Amino acid sequence: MLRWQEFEQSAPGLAEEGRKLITSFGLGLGYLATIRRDGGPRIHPFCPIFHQGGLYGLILPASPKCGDLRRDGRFAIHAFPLPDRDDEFYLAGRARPADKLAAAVRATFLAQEGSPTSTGDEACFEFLLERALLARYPKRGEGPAWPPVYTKWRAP
Amino acid sequence: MARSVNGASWESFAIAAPRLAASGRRLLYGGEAIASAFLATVAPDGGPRLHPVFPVLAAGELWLFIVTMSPKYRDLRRNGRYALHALPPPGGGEEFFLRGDAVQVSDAAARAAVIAATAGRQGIHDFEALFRCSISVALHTRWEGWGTPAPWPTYEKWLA
Repeated sequence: MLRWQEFEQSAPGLAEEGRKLITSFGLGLGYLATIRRDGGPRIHPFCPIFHQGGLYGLILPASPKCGDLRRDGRFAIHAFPLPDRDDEFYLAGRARPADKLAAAVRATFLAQEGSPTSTGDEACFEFLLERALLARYPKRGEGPAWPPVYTKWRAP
Repeated sequence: MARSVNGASWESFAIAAPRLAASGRRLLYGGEAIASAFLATVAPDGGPRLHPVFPVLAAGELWLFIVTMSPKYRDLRRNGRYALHALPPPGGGEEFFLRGDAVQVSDAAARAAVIAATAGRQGIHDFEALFRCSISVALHTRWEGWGTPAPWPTYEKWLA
């Protein structure tokens, strides 16, 4: 499991493209999948935050996904889809609580453009990375829709 | 091998909770001919996996065509439990979420009906396996004051 900046050092091109996809709307936007207490999957949109070499999330402390991440830190993240192409960026790994950094991560989040909002009491998690996947498609209508060109990475 | 499936058909859900189902249909399709969503499945190690998918509402059911070479196909064959989240509308402020069980369906007539509902855009290849998705939980969230410093959610939830 690596921090984002270690992933960047390991696979700089993939990390750069992935970061572009996560932040393609300004604020980081993605879907977060976690595992429920009963073993089933859960999915929610959230705002990934790049802060001092790490990838973080501010999660409402009373939310089910916060409980999931505290109990079983395994996660999958997928960047929001783009309006004009189907490119995908996917991350999987394990989240670790980072509540001591919550105020600093919140400050980084709120300093971004795009009207970020905060309740001021979110739990903070850092997403440590085990796998990454980038799928590149032609612009819609300009080439075969499938299969895409895949770039895969696994933590050494 | 037969296994128990939890949840209701889309039609049963829509009869029981018509306003919620209408919101769900609107958000899944987003005004387009093809619906879009994200699907979470359970990987062999018990961890989560996440994929974009193109659900289809047809013949009173929610369907997915899943490419048989994909990890999510193997996930659903092994463990049909799924969670599905619609894409946000352009201005944000709403979410639609479903949870249930997905079961592969090989019935040719059912497949033909679903392909017809997509006007032949999906399901025409043998490597697109058809799954019927039952619905155990549906949740629509509407955010009041979206984009302001104090957005507030209101929820409409249905349990099978």
